[in-house]
Amino acid sequence: MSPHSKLIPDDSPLANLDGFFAALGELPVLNPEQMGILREEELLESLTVLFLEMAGTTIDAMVAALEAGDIRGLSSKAHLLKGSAVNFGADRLVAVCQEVEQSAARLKEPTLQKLLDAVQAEYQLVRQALTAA
Amino acid sequence: MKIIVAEDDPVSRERLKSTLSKLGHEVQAFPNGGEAWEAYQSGKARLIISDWMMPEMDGLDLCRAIRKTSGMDYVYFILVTALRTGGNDYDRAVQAGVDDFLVKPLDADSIWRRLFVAERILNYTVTIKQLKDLIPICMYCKKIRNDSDYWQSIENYFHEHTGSDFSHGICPDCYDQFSAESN
Repeated sequence: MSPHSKLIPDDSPLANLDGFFAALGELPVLNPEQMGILREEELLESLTVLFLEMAGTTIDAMVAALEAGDIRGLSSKAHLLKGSAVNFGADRLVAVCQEVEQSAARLKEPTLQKLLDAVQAEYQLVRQALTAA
Repeated sequence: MKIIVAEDDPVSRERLKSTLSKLGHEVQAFPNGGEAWEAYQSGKARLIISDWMMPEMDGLDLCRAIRKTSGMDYVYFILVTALRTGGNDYDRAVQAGVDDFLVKPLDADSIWRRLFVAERILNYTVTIKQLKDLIPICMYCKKIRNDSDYWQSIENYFHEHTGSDFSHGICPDCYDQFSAESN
C-alpha cells in the first residue's frame, strides 16, 4: 500500500489512518538520491535555509486555516509545502502533505487534525535531518 | 536567453533561478503570476517557466494572458507540475497554450533538455516570422525574390526554405476562368 495514493476514503476510522502511517514509515525522511543531486548542484545549504524559513510559516498557516475552517487555504498551503519538500526528497512529509491537499475537502476536522499533527512531526524529522546533513 | 520564472515556493524558485543562471540565461524570478505578467509586458522574455498553482494569477491564467497578446514574438511556455498531475490537467494545460512541462522535483538535466528544445523551436518561429513578414513577391507572376536577388518560383522558394513540396491542383475560380478562355 503506497502512502502516495489516497488511503483515506472519508472521515476515516482510526484503522485507515493507522494503515496510512504504517505505510508512511516505509519511506525515507530524506531521499538520499535527491539529497545527492542538491549536493552535486551545490544548492543544499542555500535551499535548506529557504526551506526552513518557509516551512515553519507555512505550517503555522495550515494550523490557522484548519482552526478557521478554511479548507481551501489548508489544501493550498499543503500543496505549497509539498512542492517545496519534494526538492529534498522528503518523501514522508510530501506524502502527508499530499494527503492533506487531496483529501481536505472530504475529511472531517478530527481526521484533518491528526494529519496536520503528522505534518508537524514529519517536518521536525526533516528539519533535524537537514540540519545534520 | 531572457527567461521569466513564476513560482510561489521560494525553494523551487531559487533552484530554477540558480540552474538557469548557471546555464547562462538571464533570469527574472517572481513569486506569482501577476508579477510575472507585468514583467513580461515590459520586457522581451522569450521563455516562461511557471508553476501551476500560485496566488493572484496561476500558471494557466498567465499562459492564457500571454497567448492573447498579439504582435509579440512567440513565447515558449513551460509549466511546472507536481508528480501526480492527472491527464485531464495536462489536457487543460495544452489547451491553454502550454508548450512543455517540467515535473517536480526539478533537476538540472531535465531543465537543460527542455531549454534545448525550446531554443530550437523559438529559432524556427523566428524563421517563420521572417518568412511571413519579409517575402518580396512579384505582384503579377508571384515569383519571390530570394536572398541572392534572384526571382524564383514560389514552389522552389518554399522548398528551399522549408523542405515543403507542392501538389498542383486548380482552384474553382481559376477553373472557371480557364474553362471560359478555352471555350
